[in-house]
Amino acid sequence: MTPLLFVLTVGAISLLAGFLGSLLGLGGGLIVIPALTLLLHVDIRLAIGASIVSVIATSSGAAAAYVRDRLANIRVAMFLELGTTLGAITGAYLAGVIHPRFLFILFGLILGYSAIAMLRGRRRSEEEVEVGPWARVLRLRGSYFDHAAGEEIIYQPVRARIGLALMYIAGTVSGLLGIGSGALKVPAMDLAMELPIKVSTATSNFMIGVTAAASAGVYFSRGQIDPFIAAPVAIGVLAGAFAGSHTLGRIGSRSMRMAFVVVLVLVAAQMLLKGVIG
Amino acid sequence: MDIAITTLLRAGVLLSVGIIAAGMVITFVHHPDYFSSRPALGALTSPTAHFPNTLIGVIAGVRQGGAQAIIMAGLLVLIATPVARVALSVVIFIIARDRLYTAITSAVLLILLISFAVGLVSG
Repeated sequence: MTPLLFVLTVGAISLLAGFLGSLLGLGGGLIVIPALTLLLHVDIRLAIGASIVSVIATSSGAAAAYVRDRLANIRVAMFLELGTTLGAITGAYLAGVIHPRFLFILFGLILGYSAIAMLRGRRRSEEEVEVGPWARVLRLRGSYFDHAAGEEIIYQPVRARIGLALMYIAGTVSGLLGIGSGALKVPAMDLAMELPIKVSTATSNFMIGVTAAASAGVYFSRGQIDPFIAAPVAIGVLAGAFAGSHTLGRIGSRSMRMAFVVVLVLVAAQMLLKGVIG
Repeated sequence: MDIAITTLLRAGVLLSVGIIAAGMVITFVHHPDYFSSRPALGALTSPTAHFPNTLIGVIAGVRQGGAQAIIMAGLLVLIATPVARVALSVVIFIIARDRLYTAITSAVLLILLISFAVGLVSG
């Protein structure tokens, strides 16, 4: 393969990763890492460095449109970032104490459970959940215009404290395993805080850039960010995320939920496999 | 608030794309063999490939017009964008006299800077 062909291939794969990542609130490392290592035989250390760049590019590339369309709830994001950033530090501190294999299995099981829970859906009609003092004081209530449904959706997030605790765990996991934890953030916002699915993925997308930026310094100084690999990743992902952020509003919430569950199952399987094989 | 944040994010993204793309163009102009040579790729993506990994190294490289350093500068702009977004939010909440969210976003910024510093030391 010539360097030119390499750049074009990586750019095309990254375009897809950015598009899917921005829709689902994930970083795209899910696609970028296996594509670089298995398909293009790039060293895993450099692939992880490129994946961190991919997470930040997905987040920043889509965030402008999500903020404008009110799909990303900025207050929810700011509040929950307290948990993810503190968790990221904890994770970096704990790394080396806990065996990664054990974590991959645990993470896989949590994601598998989340997938089942999200598939069953919430039973909100049976009992009205109390908003709680935190969600009220934090003024988390939001609204957005849903183009697929053709109406303004007004929602009231609940269980802010549980959401914050789950974000702390999500941040710790991403600090420990060096992965973006959008796959954990979206179910936490969906199941615990009862945000609409599109708001959950857009808000997760808004947050992952901050978590990734916190650890990007480490990867940069360790020399894991190779400009020749990261450049096509950054440009491809940014273009894909831009396209994705202009598509999310028009997708139906039910199909979004289903698509997320499918990806969740795939990630869970990938994690369990890593944990078992090592 | 929304407008300030979207403007910042757009500016950060466009600036980084511009710099990275310029760096890629310079790379291929300097090395016409990259269009056809197969072995050239190995040196570029090998785990032992040499590229700047300190701020000082990047700045020095950009001054010399090094393509790799220019790309790296663009990547650093991209990495700094989310951090700048949090910093801007702090300012916006201060202006809005929103004490609760000023405290929350300041805490996030502080944690972020600490983790950055810890990372650079332990990394």
